[in-house]
Amino acid sequence: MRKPFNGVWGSFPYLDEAATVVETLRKEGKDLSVLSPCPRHELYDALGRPSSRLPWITLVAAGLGIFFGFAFPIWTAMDWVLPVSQKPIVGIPAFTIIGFELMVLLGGMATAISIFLLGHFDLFRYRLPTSPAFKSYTRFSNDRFGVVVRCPESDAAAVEQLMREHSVEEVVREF
Amino acid sequence: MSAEAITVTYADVNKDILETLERPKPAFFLMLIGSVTALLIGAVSWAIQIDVGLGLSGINHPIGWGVYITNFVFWIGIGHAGTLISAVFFLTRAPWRAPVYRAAEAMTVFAVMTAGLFPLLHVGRVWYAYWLIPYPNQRLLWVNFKSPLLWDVFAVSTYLTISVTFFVVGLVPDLSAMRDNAKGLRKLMYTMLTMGWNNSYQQWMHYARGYLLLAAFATPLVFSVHSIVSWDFAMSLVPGWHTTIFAPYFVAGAIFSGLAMVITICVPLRVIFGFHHYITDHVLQSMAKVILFTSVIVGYAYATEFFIAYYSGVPFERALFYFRPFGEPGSLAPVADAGSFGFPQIAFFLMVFCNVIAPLPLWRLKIRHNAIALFIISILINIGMWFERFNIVVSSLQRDFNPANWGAYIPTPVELGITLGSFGFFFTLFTLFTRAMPSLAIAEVKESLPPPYKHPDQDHVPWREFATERTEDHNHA
Repeated sequence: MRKPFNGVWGSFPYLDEAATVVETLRKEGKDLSVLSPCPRHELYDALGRPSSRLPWITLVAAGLGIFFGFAFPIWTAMDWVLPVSQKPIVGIPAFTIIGFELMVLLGGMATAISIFLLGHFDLFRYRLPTSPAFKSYTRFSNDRFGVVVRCPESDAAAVEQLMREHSVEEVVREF
Repeated sequence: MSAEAITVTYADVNKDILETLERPKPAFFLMLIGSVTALLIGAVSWAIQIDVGLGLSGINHPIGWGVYITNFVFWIGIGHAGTLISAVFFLTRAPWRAPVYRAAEAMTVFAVMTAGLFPLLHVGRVWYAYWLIPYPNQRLLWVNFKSPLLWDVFAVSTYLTISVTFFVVGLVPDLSAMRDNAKGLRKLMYTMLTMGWNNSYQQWMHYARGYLLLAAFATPLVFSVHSIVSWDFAMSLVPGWHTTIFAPYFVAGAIFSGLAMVITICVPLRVIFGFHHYITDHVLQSMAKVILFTSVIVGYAYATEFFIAYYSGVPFERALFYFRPFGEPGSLAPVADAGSFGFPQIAFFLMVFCNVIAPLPLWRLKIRHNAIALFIISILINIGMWFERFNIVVSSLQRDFNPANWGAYIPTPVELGITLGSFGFFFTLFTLFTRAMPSLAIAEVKESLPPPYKHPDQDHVPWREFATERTEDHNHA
């Protein structure tokens, strides 16, 4: 069973204020998540430029695409040998097209699927509030920046104080 | 973004774009009626062709590829602009792409879907079209992987899949904005479509990296797909087709026609939905510049084809390139209608006028800033590019090596009906799209705006320096 969320969350109308809070909390070693209507480099930098595991998945899938793109035409050419004038039975330059297309196809598909799967897996690690107040708050897809801090109740006052110093619009404690 | 857009806030973006999904305007119904009518004409024409047979089309020996393959190449070309804008201009960080990329990407998906219909139409017995796919069968026969036609199957299906993927991935954050704005059944539907998207940075991080990788994959795909389509022709020995210039010539033509179609759909979108703050004159002007650039490449390619036909000394090439503009030379009177000036010649001059002459006014800034002029020029380019495809496909087959093997081709009513139907199919899908999904990419438009800062002048915070540079870039652009 998933552990319930314990911590504080707040919504910010200003990006610079939200980024300052994020950077301060990160440097204090707090476990936090950030929500925003669009990706912003300010928040990414404030979070310490975390890296995604996604390129490795893309690399493996694209490699598999290249392998199948060559292996399948080579196998079919050998399976039913069809000599045409002096042309080689296994025509590597011609099969390069298939290799390229399958590399793009498998690499692209794996990338797209991974974007959503990895996002879901991370939700188990970086829990978000489950309260009706959070679920009914719809402005993180509109014009507000959210900072969610997972912390013990003893730290809540300090986190809330920091948020209030930086123009938080709404702050909620959930324990 | 131009100075006009700086006053737009994140909340305005949501409001302006989501508002377009509310009560439909009369223009929507007019557009839908027109496009569905064209679609029905196409559907009836196809039904008649299936019932009577492929003989109803003008395709016959020696012209085995007619209007259907012309349409296929034309629509694949139209489909190029979406991925060009969403992938290539994403990698090159073109700041004007954000407002038009969603419409262009939708256009790509629908254009490639339309193009995909034509190989099925062309084979006649559409129920055997699955023979194109390599599948295990009892006779252990496999498709010929050395054939450009099979490369095309792989190229076009990969292009369609990646275009749809790109489209869907870009749409998910916007669907979350729609979900948060909706109630009842619509909210439930959007919740399912967003696949758990919650705008958290854990998701944005994977999204940004994944989108970059998708763009990196799609960029060579843009250039490869139309190169491979061109090899359907260039790998043969037919005069007019067997030439190494075809790949770059086709790619430039595809970008040219695709961007013209983007302008054709974006100018009405701007007027109907009042998107003047987003699809600004600067955005239209930037597209016009790329159109002008590719128009020059296309014009140069036309000239090169003629020069090489002359310079090669090959009589068959010379004869074909004389035939395209002027018809038969007098010396061929015994075997052909000498001096005839028919449909192929009209198609040739229409192509040259629409693709080389008509875009010339775009050299003037005043014209590039005039949406009506751009709209008219873009329609002329669409017409010109259709005739360019027609010229390449049909006129070469009309005149091959042996005069005894020459023939004439005029599209039949069924072929014209299906061609009209393809435009109906495309515009029906696009019109429905404008009602069902945001026509502008909400998250990307926000990303291109200056963000809401409380202290815009403070510059000692490390992340601020980078952000300020980016904002200045946008303002200058």
